[in-house]
Amino acid sequence: MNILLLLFAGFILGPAFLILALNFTRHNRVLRKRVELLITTFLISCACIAIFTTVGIVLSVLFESIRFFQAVPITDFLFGLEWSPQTAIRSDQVGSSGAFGAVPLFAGTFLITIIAMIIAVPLGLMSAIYLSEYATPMVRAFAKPLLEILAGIPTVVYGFFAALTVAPMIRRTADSLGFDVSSESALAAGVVMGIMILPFVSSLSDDVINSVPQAMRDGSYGLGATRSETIRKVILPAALPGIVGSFLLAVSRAIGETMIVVMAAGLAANLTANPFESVTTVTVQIVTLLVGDQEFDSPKTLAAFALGLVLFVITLILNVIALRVVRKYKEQYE
Amino acid sequence: MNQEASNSTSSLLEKDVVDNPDFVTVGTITADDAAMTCRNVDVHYGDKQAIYNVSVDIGRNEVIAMIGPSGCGKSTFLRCLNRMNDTIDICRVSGDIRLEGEDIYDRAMDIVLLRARVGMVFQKPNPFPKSVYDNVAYGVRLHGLTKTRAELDEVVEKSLKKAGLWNEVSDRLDKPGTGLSGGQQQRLCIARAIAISPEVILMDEPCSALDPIATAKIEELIDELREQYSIAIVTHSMQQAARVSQRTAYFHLGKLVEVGPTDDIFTKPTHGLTEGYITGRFG
Amino acid sequence: MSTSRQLVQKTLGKRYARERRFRWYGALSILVGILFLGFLLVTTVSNGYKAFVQTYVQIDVDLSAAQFGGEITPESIAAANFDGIIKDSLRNAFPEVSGRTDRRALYGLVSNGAQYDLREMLLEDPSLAGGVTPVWLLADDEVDVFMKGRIDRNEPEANRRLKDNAIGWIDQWVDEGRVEKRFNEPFFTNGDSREPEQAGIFGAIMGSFFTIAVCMLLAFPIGVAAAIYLQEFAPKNRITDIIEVNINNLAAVPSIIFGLLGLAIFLNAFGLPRSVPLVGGMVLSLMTLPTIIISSRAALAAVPPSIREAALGVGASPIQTVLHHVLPLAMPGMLTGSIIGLAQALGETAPLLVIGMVAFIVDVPTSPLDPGTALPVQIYLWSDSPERAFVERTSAAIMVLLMFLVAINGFIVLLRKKLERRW
Repeated sequence: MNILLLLFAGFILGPAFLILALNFTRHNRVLRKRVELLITTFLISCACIAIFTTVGIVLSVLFESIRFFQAVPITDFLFGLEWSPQTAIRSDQVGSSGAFGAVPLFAGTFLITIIAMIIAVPLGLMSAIYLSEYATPMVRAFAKPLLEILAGIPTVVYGFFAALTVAPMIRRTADSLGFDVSSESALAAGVVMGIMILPFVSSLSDDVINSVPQAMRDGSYGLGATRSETIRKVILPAALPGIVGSFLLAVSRAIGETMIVVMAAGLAANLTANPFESVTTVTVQIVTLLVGDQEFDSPKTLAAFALGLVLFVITLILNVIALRVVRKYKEQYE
Repeated sequence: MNQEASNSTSSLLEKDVVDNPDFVTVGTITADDAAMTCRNVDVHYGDKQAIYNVSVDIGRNEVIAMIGPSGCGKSTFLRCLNRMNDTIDICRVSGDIRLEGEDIYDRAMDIVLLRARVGMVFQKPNPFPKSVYDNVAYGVRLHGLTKTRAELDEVVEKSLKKAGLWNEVSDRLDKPGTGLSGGQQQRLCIARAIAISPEVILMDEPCSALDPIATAKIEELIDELREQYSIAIVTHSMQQAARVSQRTAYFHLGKLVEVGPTDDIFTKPTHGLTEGYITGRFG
Repeated sequence: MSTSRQLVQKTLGKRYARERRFRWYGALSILVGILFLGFLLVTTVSNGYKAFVQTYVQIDVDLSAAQFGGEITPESIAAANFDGIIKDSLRNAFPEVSGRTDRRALYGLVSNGAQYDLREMLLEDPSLAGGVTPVWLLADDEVDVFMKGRIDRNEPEANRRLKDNAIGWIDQWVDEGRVEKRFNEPFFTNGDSREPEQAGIFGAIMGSFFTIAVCMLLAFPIGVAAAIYLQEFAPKNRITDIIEVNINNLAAVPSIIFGLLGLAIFLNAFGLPRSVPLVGGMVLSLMTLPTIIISSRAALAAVPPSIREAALGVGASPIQTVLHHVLPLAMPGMLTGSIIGLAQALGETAPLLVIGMVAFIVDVPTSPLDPGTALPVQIYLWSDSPERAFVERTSAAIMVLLMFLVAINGFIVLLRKKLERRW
């Protein structure tokens, strides 16, 4: 801990000290060279912190997961259909072993992500199209910042809104139509998450659409195409790889989103595809497993890290693919 | 000494054109049989005026070349002829432009229909990221010009043949149009334009991005196309204007200085500015 | 030729209809987003604005010397049983109330924190004591909710926690002018509490302040230094490439994963204490680092090369060039990027849950090493509470959080306007 505080102080005071040193030694070439070497070392070590962070994430998540898989076989975890991670207070208690089959969590995450994407993709894409191709400058100056505000609202606020307002609203509507809907339905969480991701999809798509060269549009207009024909038949096909890339980034964000689901989705692991039922997600379970006093070595706590590993790997794969696709796409028109 | 003298004459001449609000184009602006007529066309970009009072005809089955130093407004003028400038918010066009006697800036004139009748080929080849076939079929499908696949096939083949591209691409119609060479791409764009059988074709420096061999092919093509279409071509190359066109219009700083038969413009230009440009004394 | 013209004309109606429809879809999409935003803000404000006032009741409290063992001194005031005093006074106000349940209901009208307030009051001004004095005391949250019109008195008695007799007493107080709504100062000066009427956001704000301070102190110098190295000095090789890809990916890692990192490394491996803003700030600094690096690099890249050439040309070393000439010019852009990262960190909740900043903490933290919570976490904690009065407070806390974010973003806009430089 003391070492850490020292490091802490080093990172704050270090730069100030080095810059001062550079000033004091400016007339002495040899000393200056040394100070400059120190500065370069500092800069490099800062750049490496990003690497250390990744390594730290991988190591911490991986080690705890390995310990978890020593207690619970990895196949049970990845393919098991039952999730009930209660650990016993007494070792001879009924059901003390707990079940760590994560499939219901994956399914729940998937269900909510799909609902969110069904909302966010068409709305986000159409908003981007409208803003970049149709909106008058005045409308744009007004609508764009509003969408950006939507992106800046903390997710805990969305979560509260989903749990307190949207979920009861969906329930009442469904009740009056004669459906039975859980008050923690996947639908409520999914819809609100979709709206949260909307500005993200919209700004990424906007980027992608704007990188389609004007010459392409001219070619289409010159042949007598209307605006929407040009968008649908030329711009969107041309921008497709980039758009797919941004959708992948959005999916990755939806999968990793925590607060909305913690507050608005359920805790019980339900294996269902029905959006009106309550489901739980990977992130919800990580939070539930870790909040409250826990022994660090219980399988219950370690399970959170195994879930974290799955989450990290999946989002990483999505991000790597997406970033590569988008970069390739942009290079094509540069 | 000589250089200086000519410089001062040309600047005098320039003053006469640029600063004279009543300047009238030299030469014959009318064509024997006009497909399009333009009268007193002004174009503004925001507060800036880009085109001043231009009047000229585009004759049926002839090629009219528009030449002039860069920034003289020749491309802007060309883009007025199928209202491509409408896509630029701050651009205002006034004056009278008629296609077969119909005012193209009239409210009754449909812009989609206008562009189907007045095709355009751009400076840089801009094939869509689709197959060669789909590129040519694009406009035909949009406008619903054919009913059956067989008809469409026929139109595509005919257009590619007219554009002199059929022999080169008949075996790879389903390959992306962006995979062709620059010259082929530009001919693909010409095929795409003629597939919807326009009445007039506008070409905006169609060869500026091409090598000499590809350029020669396109020039040859333009000459053949003249038998069916009326063509207006903007070019920065006087040689090209001389080779492909029957009439030539010389633009200078937004004003149309002189129009006339190409032979006359190049051999005995009337206006001093035209002569200066043709002889390469400035430009 | 004319046939093709007719063909085109025939399709036009349909095509323009499609065009209009498409345009509508676009406008509708934006409208959905904006309406949702409006809906969210309106519900939050309408749920929360009443939390900025709080109900107080005036009670004639018997503060005669007898209550303080005969003598009124600071010591005797400190030792007095104010809970009993208030209960006595309530009984005196409604002598007809008898029976344990009814009495308890009566006592419940005043917050159980009122006794401490009363003691403070007397310690500050001992002259109040000495007889029966009318004193304004904090009302219970149910009374508060009732006074704010959120309890329907026509609802069956069994469905509400505030029973008919209690409503009767309140009505009597209202008639006597003994009920008043005042600005809710405790909300801004207290820490958390189980009693909604005593719960405040000050503890959470201080927790957020320390967390963000630690986060920025770490992330800003590190981020700027990393950006300087990567943009100005790094050789183009595989390692720099890996760092770059790595930073881009790190920016897209779900925030909760950073919480897991903090839990495993800072808490378990290094043994730092749980629930402290120091660890929260460290975790958030790792999370905001990519944002800061990416925007700082953009700011450096925007400085024209001519500046560097000029400095190098007069004999400055590359490091002097960057530190003395390029960095000051890039600073505004770096600051803006860092403030964006700050706003992001301020709203972040998930990683803080994992490292234990969700504990119920009444005391306001006074240093980054005191256990604390953060504003968004407080919102999460309150949102889980069953009391109705907490809904109001949660919304009010959200309003405060959004205010902070608006202020930060306003500051960014200002900064950009003021420092914007066009090359």
